[in-house]
Amino acid sequence: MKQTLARLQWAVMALLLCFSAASLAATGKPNPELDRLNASLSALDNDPALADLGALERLKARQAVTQFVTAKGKTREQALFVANKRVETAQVAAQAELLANQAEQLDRERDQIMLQASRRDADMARREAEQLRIQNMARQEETERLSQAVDDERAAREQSNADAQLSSAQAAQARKLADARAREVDLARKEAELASILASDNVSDGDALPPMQRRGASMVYTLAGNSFASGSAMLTSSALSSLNKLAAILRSGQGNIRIEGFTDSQGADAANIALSQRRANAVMVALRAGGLSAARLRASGKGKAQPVADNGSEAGRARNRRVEIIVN
Amino acid sequence: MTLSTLKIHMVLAFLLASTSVWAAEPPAAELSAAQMAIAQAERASPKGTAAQSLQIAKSAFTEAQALNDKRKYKDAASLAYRAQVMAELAKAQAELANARMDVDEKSARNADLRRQLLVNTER
Repeated sequence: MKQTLARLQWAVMALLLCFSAASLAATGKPNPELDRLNASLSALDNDPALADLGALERLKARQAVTQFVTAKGKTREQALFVANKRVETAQVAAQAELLANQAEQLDRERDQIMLQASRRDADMARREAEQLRIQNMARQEETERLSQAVDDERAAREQSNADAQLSSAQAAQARKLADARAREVDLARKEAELASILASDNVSDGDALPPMQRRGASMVYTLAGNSFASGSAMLTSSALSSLNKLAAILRSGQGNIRIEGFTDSQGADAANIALSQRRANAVMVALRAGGLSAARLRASGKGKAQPVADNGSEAGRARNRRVEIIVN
Repeated sequence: MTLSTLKIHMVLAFLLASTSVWAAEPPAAELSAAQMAIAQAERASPKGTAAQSLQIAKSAFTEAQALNDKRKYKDAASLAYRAQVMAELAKAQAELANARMDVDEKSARNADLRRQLLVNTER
């Protein structure tokens, strides 16, 4: 019995060895499916673009290949199918992940484009602002230049006005100078005329001008009392001639002429006033006859007023009897 | 160990093995996993980009269900796993197609943006 059991045990061991040998023989045989699967996985691993992608699916594929290696009998066909599909899935998943990464990259690229566009817009806005600033500066400079031109023009105009005023003043001055020269010439002429008259006076003392004296701004010609007949207002011929020459001199003037008659203190005042008035009137008529305008002449009788000498003596009374021709 | 004892052991081992085959459970987990994988593949492929693989997965799943109904649980489990593997392949193919379309669209969009925003503003 023991020998039978020992033979059975040996037979079982032999059977196991046979199985093992068969298995070893099977693994040693060429396996094109396994080679193809491993080649596919190696290609996937060695692809630089896909090497790190689809990790989960790649793991499942390796597990499936391993199961295919160890699968036997009826399960071998199922394991091969699964391994093929898992490897294919790993390849597809890696490519899908690669494309997904590319899509993300495209999103980032889109963001970069938008950012670049924004920067470009900002740059353009900055450039436009700078251009506007420069244009503004140019406009300001133009405005200042125009303002300066206006100021210059105004200054030139003012200068021109000043020149014109100066010219006008110079012209006025020249006119005044010309007038002064004309007056000077006129005065010279009058002086010559006066000298001529005076020269003619020297010929005959009876035709001499009445004596003249200055009283303030006025010239006072005094016609002595002997120019009239005693107690009368009739001028002597000598006095008339003298007044005629005086009128010739006074014609060139423009001032008013007062004619005032005076008497001595003898006699009634009323009579003296009346006599002095008549004598003044007579002188006025003589001067008008000599060519003087009546508008310039005014005659008045003062009587014994304003004596110039002592009425106590004949010589004094003779001096008080007079007619004064006051030229303003 | 006597010969009779060995015979008894062998008979018991045979019976144990037979019991384990005939008493196999329905492959509910495999069927469920396959069904879930098919649903995911369908969601990933709304435009039918992986129609062929998905169709194979669905056919395998249908056949697995039929075998399951016939209590051929081992074959049903095997086919359900095939259906799951095919569905996962279909999902990966759909994702690849979607990613390719996405890349194409975004490339075109970027080119358009570049032309509109950058090239047209060149002065």
